[in-house]
Formats: sequence, C-alpha cells, structure tokens
Amino acid sequence: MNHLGDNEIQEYLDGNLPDRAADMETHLRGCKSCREKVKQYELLYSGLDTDRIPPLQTDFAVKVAAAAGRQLALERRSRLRIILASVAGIICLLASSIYFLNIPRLFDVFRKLSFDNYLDSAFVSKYKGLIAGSGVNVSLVLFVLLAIIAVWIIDYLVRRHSRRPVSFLV
Amino acid sequence: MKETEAVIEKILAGDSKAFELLVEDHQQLVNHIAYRMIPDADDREDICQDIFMRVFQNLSTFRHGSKLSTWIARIAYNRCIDYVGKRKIVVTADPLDGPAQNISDPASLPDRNLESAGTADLLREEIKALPGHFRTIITLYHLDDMSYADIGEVMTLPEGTVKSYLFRARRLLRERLLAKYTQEELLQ
Repeated sequence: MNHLGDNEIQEYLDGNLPDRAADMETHLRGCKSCREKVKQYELLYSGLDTDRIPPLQTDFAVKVAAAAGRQLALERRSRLRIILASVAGIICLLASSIYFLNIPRLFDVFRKLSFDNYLDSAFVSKYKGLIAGSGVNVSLVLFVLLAIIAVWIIDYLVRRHSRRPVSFLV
Repeated sequence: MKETEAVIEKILAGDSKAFELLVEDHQQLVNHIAYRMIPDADDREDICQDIFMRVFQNLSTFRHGSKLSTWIARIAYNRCIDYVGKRKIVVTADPLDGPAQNISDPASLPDRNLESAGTADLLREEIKALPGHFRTIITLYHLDDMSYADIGEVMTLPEGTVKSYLFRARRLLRERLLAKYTQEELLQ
C-alpha cells in the first residue's frame, strides 16, 4: 500500500472511510511517516475542536430581546396608521383612476353603485380643477404608484416562496 | 421540529422571553461566525445584535424544511459578508489558488513571535491568516458540529466544495504550523 495522502488521512479521521479503516490501520502499524502525519492531524483536530472563541456579553440575549420588544411595540403603534393610510391611498387611487383615465366601464360600475352623484359633484370638480391647475401629470403619478405597488407585491411573493431571509427593497 | 415551531409561534405572538431563549440558544453559533470574519470586537457585538434583529423581523418567513440553526447561520454569514464588503476588509486570498508558495521559507510566513503562547494561541493565529471562507468552514465544522450539507446551505456552496475547502484549510494549517514549530513545541 502506498503512503497515505492528506485527504485520505482527513477522511479517515473524519470517520468517512469505515470500509477502508482496517487496511489503513494495518498500513499505519508498519509505516512510521504515515503514523507521524496522522498524529499531526490528530493534534490539529484536537486544537480545532477545542478552540475557545471569546463569548458575547453575558446579558447579550436580554439586550437583544429588549430591543426586539421595543421594535414590536413601535410596529404595533404604526400598524393602524399604515392601514388607515393604505385604505385612504387605495380609495384615492381608484377614484383618480376612474376620473382621470376616463374608463367607461368603471364609470358604469360606480353608477350602478349609486356613486354617480358624487362623480358630478362640485367637490370633485373643484378637486379636478386643482390638480389640472398644478400641472401634475396625473397619469404618470398613477403609473408610478401602481409600479411601486407591483414591485412590493413581487418582493413579498419572492420572499415568501424562495425563503430569502431579507427583502431586496431594504 | 415541533418544538421549534412552537417557539416560533410564541415569538410571533409577541413573547419576548421565547425570543430571549432563542437568542441564548444560537448566540454562540452567531458569535463564532462573526468572530472569524469581523476583527473589531465592538463592531462584532453590534453585528451580532443586528443579526438577531433580522432573525426577529424575518421569523415569519422561516420555512421548516431546513433547521432553524442553519437558517440563522445563513443570515449571520450574509450579514458578515455584507459588513466585510462595505468596510472593504481584506480577505486573505486562497494560497492554493495562486502560484505555489514555499511554505518552508520563513520569510514567506508571519513573524515567529508566538513561542511563549500555548498551542491554542498558535493555532488561532494561523486560522486568522486563512482565507475568510476557510475560516468559516473550519469553525462551523469543528466548533458547531455542522455537516457539509448544512455548511453548504449556510454559505450557498455545493457540498463537495465545502469538503474540498475544509480539507485544504486543514492541510494549510498543518503545513504552516510545522513550518514554524516542531511537533514537540506544538505538543507543549
């Protein structure tokens, strides 16, 4: 049997070669240089297995849990605000889409829901005039908003289904 | 696995004590990964805290197909890689990838100033001189008892590559130590 290579010795010490262990041990009994090499690797393994890395502070877990608790409380407070803002945003978006993009079918739907009075009301006319006077490209704004919503939904779905731990939007 | 699910459910329901226990159970693993990649102790503590905050924020996305420890280790490894990239910390190149280095030449090695230190310190110094991914693999395998497959999942590497890096890292360590110290010195 030839001398044992580095990989062979490591496989042997890792316990990956149960079928060949007996042959290798026979060789080791008669080969001083391989025995030395195995001894050196055993010494290295022992050092690697017992290496002592300085631990974190003793109250690390308490500190982290407290920080997480604070964040959770903050999130809970802002959750209601986010929901209200989202609802208001969606209503504005829908109303603006119908009004400015002039989609007849949606007009019909709203008329069936008896919203037609509101669409022709003085308030809406004033609102339309205000936006037209400001020179804002409403179609562009709507497109950007829809694009942001679409990206957010895609990000959410990717995170949910591909087990990516962190959002690519963050 | 059911125990892990129960812990996660408790944390998601707002039980901070459950999260504290999760941190206690995994802080050693996270610290091991960070220690091998982040030289500054203060930064390391901050990064470890940040890692657990990310774990907390993303716990609802954890799938029970893999081990929780592997998932946490993956977040820790990615966060450390991100830190190393942003700080432009020089990661030692893989010496086996470049031209052959004469490891028996003392001039090619760091100063031999560790004669009074114990074997553990000598070894730690040599581990520090290894490329970053070698250091992480050695730590996860020897200190955290992770399998090749789990390490591969943490570092996004094929199992065979993990094994090959581990063997190369140990071979390098043995050669470097023997080039600087006799076996008797190492046994002291």
